[in-house]
Amino acid sequence: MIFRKYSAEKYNLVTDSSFNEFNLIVCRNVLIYFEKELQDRVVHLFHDSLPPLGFLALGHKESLRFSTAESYFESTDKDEKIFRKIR
Amino acid sequence: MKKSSEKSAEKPEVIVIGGAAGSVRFLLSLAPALGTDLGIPFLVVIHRMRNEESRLGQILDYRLDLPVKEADEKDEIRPGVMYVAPPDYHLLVEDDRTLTLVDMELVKYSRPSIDVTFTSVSEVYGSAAVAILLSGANDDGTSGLAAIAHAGGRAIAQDPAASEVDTMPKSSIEVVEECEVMGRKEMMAYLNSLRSVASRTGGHPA
Repeated sequence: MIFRKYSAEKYNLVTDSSFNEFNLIVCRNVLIYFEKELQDRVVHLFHDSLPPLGFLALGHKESLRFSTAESYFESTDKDEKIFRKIR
Repeated sequence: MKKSSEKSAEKPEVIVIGGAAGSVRFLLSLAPALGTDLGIPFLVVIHRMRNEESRLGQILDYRLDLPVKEADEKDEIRPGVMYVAPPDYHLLVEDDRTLTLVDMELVKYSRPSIDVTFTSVSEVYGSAAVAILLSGANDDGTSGLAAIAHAGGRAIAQDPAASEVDTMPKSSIEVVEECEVMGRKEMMAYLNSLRSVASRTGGHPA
């Protein structure tokens, strides 16, 4: 049953733009491989794809500190690196 | 292998320390010689359980006279600060002297792996790097120490006789010809000697 409600799509963080709104975006240990500029692009992309108060979960050692979108999020779990869109 | 040394004590731009079983206690025993006044950044890679909440950084910070920080992605490497590799990530350095974490496959059954960090440091710092390999139970660190030595850096292994577990230093001494062997006393003396040496970047005596 669950498969009827689920869709898997290929998506390129580097070149694609937002294509849907998601309540939760989980992206772990991907941003660590990106330069600051690309990290920033991707965080904005996530921001564009979240509704207000939507959640973004990053990897343990990732943060929003290099992103110009940092102030659009609040941290809801510091250790687990879970953020919520507030603006 | 060389006896601890003769080589003129030039001030390194980084000191990278690797170890596993038995290494934390030894590192803490060097506390009197480790200080932020050395003006050198330290990178520390110690094997530990992968999924364990790690307090290593806090323990070192509490016991050592220099700020200790668990390495974060893109941290700037600052003199006088000790950066500890976090559990389950490899720690690398970039050309612009910042830190990078990666979650690539295990190396020598380990993540963080000492070989990975030592090799990365050798590529960025070349002859300005000093690497110290401590007590431990496998041969991670040996090829990293070789890379440090081949790049002209200084390769040091803890005296196996004084190591809680001697596999790690023994392996590096057998393989890395340039490797110097030091016990606690020699290592303390070496670190203290750096306090009076002008930094090679044209600085002045500390």
